[in-house]
Amino acid sequence: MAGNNLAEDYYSPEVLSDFRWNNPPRVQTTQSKYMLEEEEISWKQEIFERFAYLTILRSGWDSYSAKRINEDLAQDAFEILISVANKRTPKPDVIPTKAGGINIEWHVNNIDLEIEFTSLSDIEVYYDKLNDDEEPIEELLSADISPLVNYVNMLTTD
Amino acid sequence: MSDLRDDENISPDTVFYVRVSKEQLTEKNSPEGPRPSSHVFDDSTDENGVSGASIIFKHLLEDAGGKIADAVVNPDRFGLVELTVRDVREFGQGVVFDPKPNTDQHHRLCGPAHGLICGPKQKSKKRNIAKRARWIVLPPLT
Repeated sequence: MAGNNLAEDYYSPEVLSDFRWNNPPRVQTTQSKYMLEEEEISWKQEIFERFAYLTILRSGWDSYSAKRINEDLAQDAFEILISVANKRTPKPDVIPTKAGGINIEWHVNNIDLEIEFTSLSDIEVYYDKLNDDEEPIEELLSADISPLVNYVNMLTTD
Repeated sequence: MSDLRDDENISPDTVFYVRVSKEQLTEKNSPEGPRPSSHVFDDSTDENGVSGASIIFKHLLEDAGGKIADAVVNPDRFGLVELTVRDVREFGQGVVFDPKPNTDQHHRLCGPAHGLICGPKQKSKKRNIAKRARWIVLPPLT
Protein backbone atom coordinates (compact mmCIF):
# COMPACT_ATOMS: atom_id res chain seq x y z
CA MET A 1 0.00 0.00 0.00
CA ALA A 2 1.46 3.34 -0.92
CA GLY A 3 0.36 6.88 -1.57
CA ASN A 4 -2.78 8.67 -0.57
CA ASN A 5 -4.91 8.00 -3.63
CA LEU A 6 -7.94 6.18 -2.27
CA ALA A 7 -8.83 4.48 -5.52
CA GLU A 8 -5.27 3.39 -6.11
CA ASP A 9 -4.86 2.12 -2.56
CA TYR A 10 -8.07 0.27 -1.87
CA TYR A 11 -10.08 -0.27 -5.03
CA SER A 12 -9.41 -1.94 -8.33
CA PRO A 13 -9.34 0.94 -10.83
CA GLU A 14 -10.37 -1.22 -13.75
CA VAL A 15 -13.79 -1.71 -12.25
CA LEU A 16 -14.27 1.55 -10.38
CA SER A 17 -16.49 2.94 -13.09
CA ASP A 18 -18.63 -0.18 -13.34
CA PHE A 19 -20.24 -1.53 -10.17
CA ARG A 20 -22.25 -4.07 -12.15
CA TRP A 21 -21.12 -7.63 -12.53
CA ASN A 22 -20.59 -8.74 -16.08
CA ASN A 23 -21.15 -12.43 -15.55
CA PRO A 24 -24.58 -14.00 -15.36
CA PRO A 25 -25.77 -15.04 -11.89
CA ARG A 26 -24.45 -18.43 -10.78
CA VAL A 27 -27.44 -19.38 -8.67
CA GLN A 28 -30.77 -19.40 -10.46
CA THR A 29 -33.54 -18.67 -8.03
CA THR A 30 -36.29 -16.76 -9.77
CA GLN A 31 -36.93 -16.08 -13.39
CA SER A 32 -37.27 -12.35 -12.97
CA LYS A 33 -34.63 -11.63 -10.39
CA TYR A 34 -33.40 -8.41 -11.95
CA MET A 35 -36.76 -7.02 -13.05
CA LEU A 36 -38.46 -4.47 -10.92
CA GLU A 37 -41.88 -5.71 -9.97
CA GLU A 38 -44.60 -4.52 -7.68
CA GLU A 39 -43.77 -7.32 -5.22
CA GLU A 40 -40.07 -6.54 -5.35
CA ILE A 41 -37.99 -6.44 -2.19
CA SER A 42 -37.52 -2.72 -1.70
CA TRP A 43 -33.81 -2.86 -0.88
CA LYS A 44 -32.83 -5.35 -3.60
CA GLN A 45 -31.13 -2.91 -5.96
CA GLU A 46 -29.34 -1.08 -3.17
CA ILE A 47 -28.00 -4.32 -1.74
CA PHE A 48 -27.04 -5.59 -5.19
CA GLU A 49 -24.90 -2.49 -5.62
CA ARG A 50 -23.41 -3.02 -2.19
CA PHE A 51 -22.34 -6.55 -3.12
CA ALA A 52 -20.89 -5.31 -6.38
CA TYR A 53 -19.03 -2.54 -4.57
CA LEU A 54 -17.45 -4.98 -2.12
CA THR A 55 -16.03 -7.04 -4.99
CA ILE A 56 -13.93 -4.10 -6.18
CA LEU A 57 -12.11 -3.73 -2.88
CA ARG A 58 -8.47 -4.62 -3.25
CA SER A 59 -6.64 -7.01 -0.97
CA GLY A 60 -5.56 -5.09 2.10
CA TRP A 61 -8.78 -3.08 2.16
CA ASP A 62 -8.75 -3.24 5.96
CA SER A 63 -5.26 -1.62 5.99
CA TYR A 64 -3.80 -5.03 6.90
CA SER A 65 -3.89 -8.30 4.99
CA ALA A 66 -7.58 -8.74 4.19
CA LYS A 67 -8.21 -10.68 0.98
CA ARG A 68 -10.20 -9.51 -2.03
CA ILE A 69 -13.83 -10.54 -1.87
CA ASN A 70 -14.45 -13.64 -3.95
CA GLU A 71 -16.71 -12.49 -6.78
CA ASP A 72 -18.35 -15.87 -7.36
CA LEU A 73 -19.04 -16.11 -3.66
CA ALA A 74 -20.55 -12.63 -3.63
CA GLN A 75 -22.83 -13.46 -6.53
CA ASP A 76 -23.98 -16.67 -4.85
CA ALA A 77 -24.53 -14.86 -1.56
CA PHE A 78 -26.65 -12.20 -3.25
CA GLU A 79 -28.75 -14.76 -5.09
CA ILE A 80 -29.29 -16.82 -1.96
CA LEU A 81 -30.18 -13.72 0.05
CA ILE A 82 -32.82 -12.71 -2.47
CA SER A 83 -34.17 -16.25 -2.62
CA VAL A 84 -34.70 -16.48 1.16
CA ALA A 85 -35.86 -12.90 1.79
CA ASN A 86 -39.30 -11.48 1.20
CA LYS A 87 -40.73 -8.00 0.97
CA ARG A 88 -41.15 -7.83 4.76
CA THR A 89 -37.51 -8.66 5.40
CA PRO A 90 -35.60 -5.68 6.80
CA LYS A 91 -32.65 -4.40 4.80
CA PRO A 92 -29.51 -6.22 5.93
CA ASP A 93 -26.01 -4.93 6.45
CA VAL A 94 -23.54 -6.59 4.08
CA ILE A 95 -20.01 -6.74 5.44
CA PRO A 96 -16.79 -8.02 3.84
CA THR A 97 -14.75 -10.52 5.82
CA LYS A 98 -10.97 -10.49 6.01
CA ALA A 99 -10.85 -13.99 4.50
CA GLY A 100 -12.58 -12.81 1.32
CA GLY A 101 -16.10 -13.79 2.30
CA ILE A 102 -19.36 -11.97 2.83
CA ASN A 103 -21.35 -11.55 6.05
CA ILE A 104 -25.02 -10.58 5.93
CA GLU A 105 -26.26 -9.14 9.21
CA TRP A 106 -29.52 -8.03 10.78
CA HIS A 107 -29.77 -6.51 14.24
CA VAL A 108 -33.49 -5.82 14.57
CA ASN A 109 -36.39 -6.64 16.88
CA ASN A 110 -33.97 -7.84 19.58
CA ILE A 111 -32.51 -10.41 17.21
CA ASP A 112 -28.94 -10.70 15.98
CA LEU A 113 -28.84 -12.77 12.78
CA GLU A 114 -25.65 -13.20 10.80
CA ILE A 115 -25.24 -15.34 7.69
CA GLU A 116 -21.60 -15.72 6.71
CA PHE A 117 -20.56 -17.03 3.33
CA THR A 118 -17.09 -18.39 3.98
CA SER A 119 -16.71 -20.42 0.79
CA LEU A 120 -18.79 -21.52 -2.17
CA SER A 121 -19.98 -24.50 -0.15
CA ASP A 122 -20.12 -23.33 3.46
CA ILE A 123 -22.54 -20.95 5.13
CA GLU A 124 -22.33 -20.17 8.84
CA VAL A 125 -25.42 -18.94 10.67
CA TYR A 126 -25.46 -17.08 13.99
CA TYR A 127 -28.84 -16.45 15.59
CA ASP A 128 -29.32 -14.80 18.96
CA LYS A 129 -32.63 -13.68 20.41
CA LEU A 130 -31.46 -11.07 22.86
CA ASN A 131 -34.31 -11.01 25.35
CA ASP A 132 -34.39 -14.69 26.22
CA ASP A 133 -32.03 -16.91 28.20
CA GLU A 134 -31.27 -19.27 25.33
CA GLU A 135 -27.73 -19.64 24.09
CA PRO A 136 -27.10 -18.24 20.60
CA ILE A 137 -27.41 -20.76 17.77
CA GLU A 138 -24.33 -21.26 15.60
CA GLU A 139 -24.95 -23.57 12.66
CA LEU A 140 -22.92 -24.59 9.62
CA LEU A 141 -24.93 -25.21 6.45
CA SER A 142 -23.65 -26.69 3.24
CA ALA A 143 -25.88 -28.41 0.71
CA ASP A 144 -29.24 -27.70 2.28
CA ILE A 145 -29.80 -23.98 2.75
CA SER A 146 -33.52 -24.23 3.42
CA PRO A 147 -33.09 -23.39 7.16
CA LEU A 148 -32.11 -19.90 6.07
CA VAL A 149 -35.72 -19.17 5.17
CA ASN A 150 -36.79 -19.89 8.74
CA TYR A 151 -34.03 -17.77 10.24
CA VAL A 152 -34.87 -14.83 8.00
CA ASN A 153 -38.59 -15.19 8.67
CA MET A 154 -37.92 -15.02 12.42
CA LEU A 155 -36.79 -11.43 11.93
CA THR A 156 -40.36 -10.40 11.19
CA THR A 157 -42.31 -12.82 13.37
CA ASP A 158 -44.66 -10.85 15.60
CA MET B 1 -7.27 -20.47 14.99
CA SER B 2 -4.13 -19.08 16.53
CA ASP B 3 -1.34 -20.86 18.37
CA LEU B 4 -0.47 -17.74 20.30
CA ARG B 5 -1.14 -17.62 24.01
CA ASP B 6 -2.21 -14.70 26.14
CA ASP B 7 0.69 -12.64 27.49
CA GLU B 8 -0.19 -12.56 31.17
CA ASN B 9 2.34 -9.80 31.75
CA ILE B 10 0.03 -7.38 29.95
CA SER B 11 -2.18 -5.62 32.49
CA PRO B 12 -5.94 -6.05 32.06
CA ASP B 13 -6.24 -2.26 32.20
CA THR B 14 -4.06 -1.84 29.12
CA VAL B 15 -5.89 0.10 26.44
CA PHE B 16 -5.66 -0.69 22.75
CA TYR B 17 -7.21 0.57 19.53
CA VAL B 18 -8.70 -1.41 16.66
CA ARG B 19 -8.99 0.13 13.21
CA VAL B 20 -12.45 -0.19 11.61
CA SER B 21 -12.97 0.34 7.90
CA LYS B 22 -16.13 2.04 6.69
CA GLU B 23 -17.20 -1.24 5.09
CA GLN B 24 -17.25 -2.89 8.52
CA LEU B 25 -19.99 -0.72 10.05
CA THR B 26 -23.35 -2.17 11.04
CA GLU B 27 -26.53 -0.72 12.48
CA LYS B 28 -25.93 2.68 10.89
CA ASN B 29 -29.54 3.70 11.46
CA SER B 30 -29.82 2.38 15.00
CA PRO B 31 -30.81 4.90 17.73
CA GLU B 32 -27.66 3.83 19.58
CA GLY B 33 -25.56 4.62 16.55
CA PRO B 34 -23.42 2.41 14.35
CA ARG B 35 -21.38 -0.48 15.66
CA PRO B 36 -18.32 -2.26 14.35
CA SER B 37 -19.21 -5.61 12.80
CA SER B 38 -18.05 -8.67 14.69
CA HIS B 39 -15.84 -9.35 11.67
CA VAL B 40 -13.56 -6.50 12.69
CA PHE B 41 -12.24 -9.07 15.17
CA ASP B 42 -11.57 -11.81 12.64
CA ASP B 43 -8.06 -13.23 12.61
CA SER B 44 -5.65 -12.46 9.79
CA THR B 45 -2.48 -14.37 9.05
CA ASP B 46 0.72 -12.45 8.44
CA GLU B 47 3.66 -13.34 6.18
CA ASN B 48 5.16 -15.46 8.96
CA GLY B 49 2.00 -17.49 9.46
CA VAL B 50 1.07 -15.77 12.73
CA SER B 51 -2.68 -15.39 13.17
CA GLY B 52 -4.68 -12.95 15.22
CA ALA B 53 -6.74 -9.80 15.06
CA SER B 54 -4.58 -6.68 14.73
CA ILE B 55 -4.61 -4.06 17.47
CA ILE B 56 -2.59 -0.96 18.34
CA PHE B 57 -1.47 -0.53 21.93
CA LYS B 58 -2.25 3.02 23.01
CA HIS B 59 0.75 3.44 25.30
CA LEU B 60 3.19 2.10 22.73
CA LEU B 61 1.77 4.36 20.04
CA GLU B 62 2.23 7.33 22.35
CA ASP B 63 5.76 6.18 23.25
CA ALA B 64 6.56 6.21 19.52
CA GLY B 65 5.26 9.76 19.26
CA GLY B 66 2.02 8.73 17.58
CA LYS B 67 -1.43 10.16 18.05
CA ILE B 68 -4.93 8.91 17.37
CA ALA B 69 -4.79 10.31 13.85
CA ASP B 70 -1.77 8.13 13.15
CA ALA B 71 -3.67 5.05 14.22
CA VAL B 72 -6.64 5.97 12.04
CA VAL B 73 -4.27 6.20 9.02
CA ASN B 74 -6.91 7.57 6.64
CA PRO B 75 -10.06 9.23 8.05
CA ASP B 76 -11.78 8.97 4.67
CA ARG B 77 -11.82 5.19 5.06
CA PHE B 78 -11.18 4.24 8.67
CA GLY B 79 -12.27 4.86 12.22
CA LEU B 80 -11.03 3.62 15.54
CA VAL B 81 -12.50 1.82 18.53
CA GLU B 82 -10.99 1.40 21.95
CA LEU B 83 -11.01 -1.64 24.24
CA THR B 84 -9.09 -2.82 27.28
CA VAL B 85 -7.33 -6.14 27.57
CA ARG B 86 -9.89 -7.03 30.23
CA ASP B 87 -12.70 -6.57 27.69
CA VAL B 88 -11.38 -9.36 25.49
CA ARG B 89 -10.06 -11.67 28.21
CA GLU B 90 -13.60 -11.86 29.56
CA PHE B 91 -14.50 -13.64 26.34
CA GLY B 92 -11.62 -16.09 26.42
CA GLN B 93 -9.26 -14.15 24.21
CA GLY B 94 -5.60 -13.39 24.79
CA VAL B 95 -3.47 -10.39 23.85
CA VAL B 96 0.16 -10.34 22.74
CA PHE B 97 2.67 -7.78 21.54
CA ASP B 98 3.51 -8.18 17.86
CA PRO B 99 5.64 -5.21 16.79
CA LYS B 100 6.04 -4.73 13.05
CA PRO B 101 8.93 -3.18 11.16
CA ASN B 102 8.41 0.35 9.92
CA THR B 103 8.23 -0.56 6.27
CA ASP B 104 5.18 1.44 5.31
CA GLN B 105 4.65 5.14 5.69
CA HIS B 106 1.09 4.64 6.93
CA HIS B 107 2.24 2.37 9.74
CA ARG B 108 5.45 4.15 10.64
CA LEU B 109 4.23 4.99 14.13
CA CYS B 110 1.86 2.05 14.52
CA GLY B 111 4.35 -0.72 13.73
CA PRO B 112 6.05 -0.69 17.14
CA ALA B 113 2.63 -0.58 18.84
CA HIS B 114 1.14 -3.48 16.89
CA GLY B 115 -0.34 -6.41 18.78
CA LEU B 116 -2.79 -9.24 18.31
CA ILE B 117 -5.94 -10.57 19.92
CA CYS B 118 -5.46 -14.32 19.89
CA GLY B 119 -7.60 -17.33 20.64
CA PRO B 120 -10.48 -19.23 19.10
CA LYS B 121 -13.08 -16.76 17.91
CA GLN B 122 -16.59 -18.10 17.74
CA LYS B 123 -19.10 -15.65 16.35
CA SER B 124 -20.65 -15.09 19.76
CA LYS B 125 -17.30 -14.04 21.21
CA LYS B 126 -16.56 -11.65 18.38
CA ARG B 127 -20.05 -10.21 18.65
CA ASN B 128 -19.69 -9.64 22.40
CA ILE B 129 -16.31 -8.00 21.93
CA ALA B 130 -17.74 -5.76 19.20
CA LYS B 131 -20.47 -4.65 21.60
CA ARG B 132 -17.84 -3.68 24.18
CA ALA B 133 -15.93 -1.51 21.74
CA ARG B 134 -16.09 2.26 22.30
CA TRP B 135 -15.79 4.66 19.39
CA ILE B 136 -12.82 7.00 19.37
CA VAL B 137 -13.18 8.01 15.71
CA LEU B 138 -16.21 7.05 13.65
CA PRO B 139 -15.49 6.03 10.05
CA PRO B 140 -17.41 7.81 7.27
CA LEU B 141 -20.99 6.54 7.13
CA THR B 142 -21.13 6.56 3.33
